[in-house]
Amino acid sequence: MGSFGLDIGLRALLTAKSSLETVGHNISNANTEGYSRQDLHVSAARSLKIRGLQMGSGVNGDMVLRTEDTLLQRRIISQTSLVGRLDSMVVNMGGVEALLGEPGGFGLGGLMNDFFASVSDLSTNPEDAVYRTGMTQAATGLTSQFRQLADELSQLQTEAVDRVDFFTKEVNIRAAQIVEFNQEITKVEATGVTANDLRDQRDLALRRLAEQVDITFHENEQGAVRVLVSGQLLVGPTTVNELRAERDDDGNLELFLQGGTKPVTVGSGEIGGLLEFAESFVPGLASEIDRLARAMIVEANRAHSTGIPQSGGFQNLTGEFALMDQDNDGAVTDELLSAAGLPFELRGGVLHVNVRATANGDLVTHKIEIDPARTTVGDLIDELNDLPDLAASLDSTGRLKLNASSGHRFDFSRRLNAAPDSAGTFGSGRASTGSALQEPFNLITGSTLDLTGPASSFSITFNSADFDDMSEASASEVAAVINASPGMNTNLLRAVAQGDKVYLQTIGSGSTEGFTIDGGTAAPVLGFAAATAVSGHDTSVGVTISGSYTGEQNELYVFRPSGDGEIGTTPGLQLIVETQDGQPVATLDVGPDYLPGTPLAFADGISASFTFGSLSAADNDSFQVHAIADSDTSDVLVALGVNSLFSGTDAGTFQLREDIGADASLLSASSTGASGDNGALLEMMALASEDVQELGQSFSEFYGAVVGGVGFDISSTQNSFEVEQFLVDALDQRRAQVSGVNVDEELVDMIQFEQAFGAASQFIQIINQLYDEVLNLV
Amino acid sequence: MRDPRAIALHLCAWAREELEGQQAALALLERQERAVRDRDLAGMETVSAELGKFAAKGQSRAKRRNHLLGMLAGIWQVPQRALTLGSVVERLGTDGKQLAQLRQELRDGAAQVMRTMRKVGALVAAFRRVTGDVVELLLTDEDGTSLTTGGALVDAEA
Repeated sequence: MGSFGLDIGLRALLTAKSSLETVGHNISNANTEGYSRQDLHVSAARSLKIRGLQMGSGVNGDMVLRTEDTLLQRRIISQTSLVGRLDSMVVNMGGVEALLGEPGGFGLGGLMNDFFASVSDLSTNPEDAVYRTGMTQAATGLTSQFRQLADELSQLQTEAVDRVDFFTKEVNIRAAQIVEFNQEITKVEATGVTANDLRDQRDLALRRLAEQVDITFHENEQGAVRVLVSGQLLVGPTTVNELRAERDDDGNLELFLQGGTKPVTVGSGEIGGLLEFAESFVPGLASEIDRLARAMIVEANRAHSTGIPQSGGFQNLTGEFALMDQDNDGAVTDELLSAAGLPFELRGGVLHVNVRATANGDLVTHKIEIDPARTTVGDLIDELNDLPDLAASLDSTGRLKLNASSGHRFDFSRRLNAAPDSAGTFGSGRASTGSALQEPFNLITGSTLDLTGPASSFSITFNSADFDDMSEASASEVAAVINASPGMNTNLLRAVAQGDKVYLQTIGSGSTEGFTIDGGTAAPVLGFAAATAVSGHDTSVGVTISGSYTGEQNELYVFRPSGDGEIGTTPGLQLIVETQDGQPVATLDVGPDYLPGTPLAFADGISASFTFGSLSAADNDSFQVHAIADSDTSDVLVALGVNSLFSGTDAGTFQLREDIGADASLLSASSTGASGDNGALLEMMALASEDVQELGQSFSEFYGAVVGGVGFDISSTQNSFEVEQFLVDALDQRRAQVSGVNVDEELVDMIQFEQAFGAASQFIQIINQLYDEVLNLV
Repeated sequence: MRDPRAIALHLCAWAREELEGQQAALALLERQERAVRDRDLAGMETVSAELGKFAAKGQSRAKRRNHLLGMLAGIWQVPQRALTLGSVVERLGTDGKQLAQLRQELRDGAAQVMRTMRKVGALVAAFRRVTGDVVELLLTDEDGTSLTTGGALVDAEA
């Protein structure tokens, strides 16, 4: 019985001692990260049957267990991943905000303003060399900032990707730690003891892992956890499937787990944040900056390509962008313009090409129809080559090359032809008659046109070999065949194509000049009446066009007299102005009340004046005026990079055309070629505030929206980060309440216990003395 | 009071009070043991206070016992320290029969109290030592200086 009682006391003593030692362990680890408070769980020891009685045998300390809330722990780990992602985003996005340099005037916004201000300055004096240099410098500064921004965004992206690579290595290290903890915990707990401290350390490792990558984890019966990333196993009870980063064929970063064939989708944690930054945020912003740069390139080039440089026109030009053999058949010319690898889009429209003789200023404006879905590279080159005094070809790299013949220059401007009757088809004094019909002419092979000139009679025969399609012969084709006839030279005659008609003329002027159209099977097809005698006049009509066209549509105005007569003399003589498709525009009185030389307005901003001279409606006298609002509605010049201001196709390649940077006189400031004209500059200046087609708003509005968007993204990410961090803090606080150690409380308890134990000891000692005396007495 | 038999009757009354005190002591010690095991601070303090009162009563009883034994020593002309309850019973002869029985009960009861007291005393001492260690740990600075041992009071006026 004595031994039994001693056992009870000893067990109680040891249990109480363990309890206090657990308190001491708690206090020692009060500041250990991830430590969970431990408690000694006690229970009544198994009772024993002694002398027929069921005797209690005291108390047992069963096990020391962590005080923890598993669900709370999981919530913290999941939340930690979210905070890791947002933290990473906030840090990296801050770098982007600094790059943009807005607000503060160090970014693109200020440089765009500088550029447009320099255009405005130059527009006040387009010939000024200093202003020209100012504009090229502003353009260089602007494009340089675009390239720098693109480069730095690319660098930020690369750095983020490099950090993803670095973090995957950290993930693998933490995964290996968790496996080690798994093995130790399994080993310890197999003996029936709970591995509290190891579990705390493993929880901490899981949390650290969750900071880098979003994970889910499950514990098996042996106490080991399995950690999954995007449903794939990263950590098993005894193994790690290492994470690695790889780039796919498109250069995108992908994460794989060892042995896995499908990429791992990481949406959270620092890696998730870095991936979102590198693969979504930066490309999105870079794409917007590229879009802005492309729009600036297109819009500025649209204005510049149709402008005229200080030299007054071009002798030769080479496009920037190469046309490519996309179908790999060895030929570029069969490629449609829409599918020839050009970086900018073409539209269906027209291109006006002006060819001017430098000696007398004679200007001929040609119009080329372009349908990107039907016009091939070869068609375009042929059309350009068909223009007198202009040659087109592709250089060795596939870029379009244009050359004017000697004594000529060309441009693509919307300039007005001040002397539109250079062909002399409108009362020029030549014996001249035009076809009553318009192209296309339905000729058949072997058909003839019979003429009699001052020297002889002769016949011209039309053969199919001379036409692309003889049944749809053009006026220029017919004129070329007629002019090739030796009889034309012999009789000093010529044929000219004017608009849709063919004109037969004498080369000389005056009333002594003449010829006769005898007939022939082709005459009625061309609209010439047989047995028609045509005479010249001693007075020739001079036509002058002035003003600046302000209409919004491109127009071709055709002038013809209402009858035969003398300008300024014949009563009732009028000039009928029609559009190309026959719609009347104006009727100009040029009878006795007209003072020759007086400008008569006939369309938006432009007028025509006439000198004395004879006109003949019977001879189909006419001339045409090209009134051009947009000389390249097809954007073919922009697409080919012909007479660009800017080269490149995006922010990273955006720059001022190299030769303009070296020679500011190449800036095409004028749209008419007139001295002091600033039409092209005004078009560019308008871009500063007008909505542009590519963006749907102005450059500054678009850029403001981009900067504002970045600011909003950063601000909302920062807000989200703060909210989520607050949540993590709250969860940590809750965990501290559940699992943490409050040293102050433990200290107060301990001191009170110590004092109580001291007092108890003293009284026991006194009583011991009393009973010692009693025992000695008895 | 010069009659040893009359003094013996007073000693029997003392012995009975002492036996009751032993039962009370055992009860208090058992309550203290439970309080210590349960880390019941309030219980420990209550029992300690009751033990204090109990000790005061015990000292009063001891004083009365010593007075009675002093009177017997005078009657029998022997030193008081030579008298035990056993020698008193022997000298009283048949008149000491009741005291002899009470002496045996006192002996057994005192032994029981001593055993219980040693057990509880050991338990309290062990707790006191561990608690002291923990308090020492809590009050020790990071540089290892203990607040319980550091410094000394100095008379500033000296």
